[in-house]
Amino acid sequence: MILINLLPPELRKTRRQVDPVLAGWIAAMVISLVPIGAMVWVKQVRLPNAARVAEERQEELQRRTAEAEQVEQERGQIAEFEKHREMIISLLAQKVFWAHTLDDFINHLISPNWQGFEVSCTDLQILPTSTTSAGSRAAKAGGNQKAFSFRGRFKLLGEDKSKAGDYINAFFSRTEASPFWKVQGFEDKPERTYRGDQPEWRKDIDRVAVDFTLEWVRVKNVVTASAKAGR
Amino acid sequence: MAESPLAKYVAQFKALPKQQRLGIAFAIPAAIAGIAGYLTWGALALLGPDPDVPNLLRRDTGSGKWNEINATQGEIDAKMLVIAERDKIRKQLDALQAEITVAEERLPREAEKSMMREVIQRLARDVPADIGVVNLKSVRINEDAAASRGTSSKGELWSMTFNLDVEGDINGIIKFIDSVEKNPRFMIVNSISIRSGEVRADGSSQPPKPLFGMHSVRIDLITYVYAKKGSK
Repeated sequence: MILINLLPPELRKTRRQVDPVLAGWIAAMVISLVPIGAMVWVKQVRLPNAARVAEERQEELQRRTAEAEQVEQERGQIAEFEKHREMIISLLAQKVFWAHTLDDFINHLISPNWQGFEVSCTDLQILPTSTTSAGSRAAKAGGNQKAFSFRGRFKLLGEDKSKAGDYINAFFSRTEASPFWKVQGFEDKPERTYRGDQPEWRKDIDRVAVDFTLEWVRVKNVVTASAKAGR
Repeated sequence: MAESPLAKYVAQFKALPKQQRLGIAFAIPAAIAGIAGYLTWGALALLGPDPDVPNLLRRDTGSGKWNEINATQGEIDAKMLVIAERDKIRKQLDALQAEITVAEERLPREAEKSMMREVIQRLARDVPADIGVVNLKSVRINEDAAASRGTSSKGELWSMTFNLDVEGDINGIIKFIDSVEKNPRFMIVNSISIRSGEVRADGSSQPPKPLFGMHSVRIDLITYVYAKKGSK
């Protein structure tokens, strides 16, 4: 059978022709899937991922916080240790050595340099004291000094009674110039506490005897651990 | 057969003018896109500045999930800075502990108090005869329980005074004091009182020679007894 289509060509339907309106509508529907897809991606993928990452970070934060607290505790211990060290070392630093001082003192007394007289010490007392000869210099120094009173009863025996004063002056000046006085930390002058004397001629030994008491002050600087560290 | 509501709507839709039909048809995907876009925008605000989201879509309102994550990361970084100092702090503690151990070893422990008396006695006995003579006549021990010399979290120091009565010649006395001061066990010579011995004339020689008697000496030694915390 032969089919004849009497319609003009523009009205004839062809199987291959797509309705542009429909195509446009389909394209619009497809494009509308993009925001839908984005919404699904954000809500179903990114948000759960963010929640998971947030939880992991929180766990890590808890772990690191515990570790950091331990480190801070150890840091706090440093101050305790330093205080303890300071306590012990400051006590050890307060030690004042007397053996060499006494040795120098004796050597000074028996020195052959005394011309025309001899000196001896008949009584010696060494005691801690709270003030120095300069008037609480230890307190001004912030309490980092230890002072000792060195109190001696001296007997001077000279050949010539008329030179008793010279012998005493010589004793003071040579003492002040001696290594004993300079090295051992004695303050001020040897004659600071000298209150006069009464020379007495001793017939039995043919000597003039002068007895007097002197009190000297020896000061030692105490170096604490913190001072050593320059703090 | 009755018409279904859907068929009714389709028939009504087909009855509309073409323009209206086109308008309604394209409004549907536009509405879908609009609603989905709005919801996505809101979700992006909840999400925050996610590094895996393209810059164009990233929203930073300050209260998103990733803002929270970044803040937490900042806290973690701060903790890490503290943790990084751990080795340095431990090294410092070790050095301090070593210093403290050396210093503490010089102080007698509570249990060693009686031993200190023996030490003093031995030092007096050990003064060489060719240097001098020293006799330890008596030793008294005073513990000043009220005078703690220091407290720390690790322990406490108490002072202990030994009052010595000694006699001897000056060389022996100086040697004894030197031995005490140099002894590894820490002792401070706190006070010394020396009274010179009598000088007599030796009548057996001509001219008479002076005979020097022994000096009487009182020495106060102080040491510090260390009691570790919890040991008392």
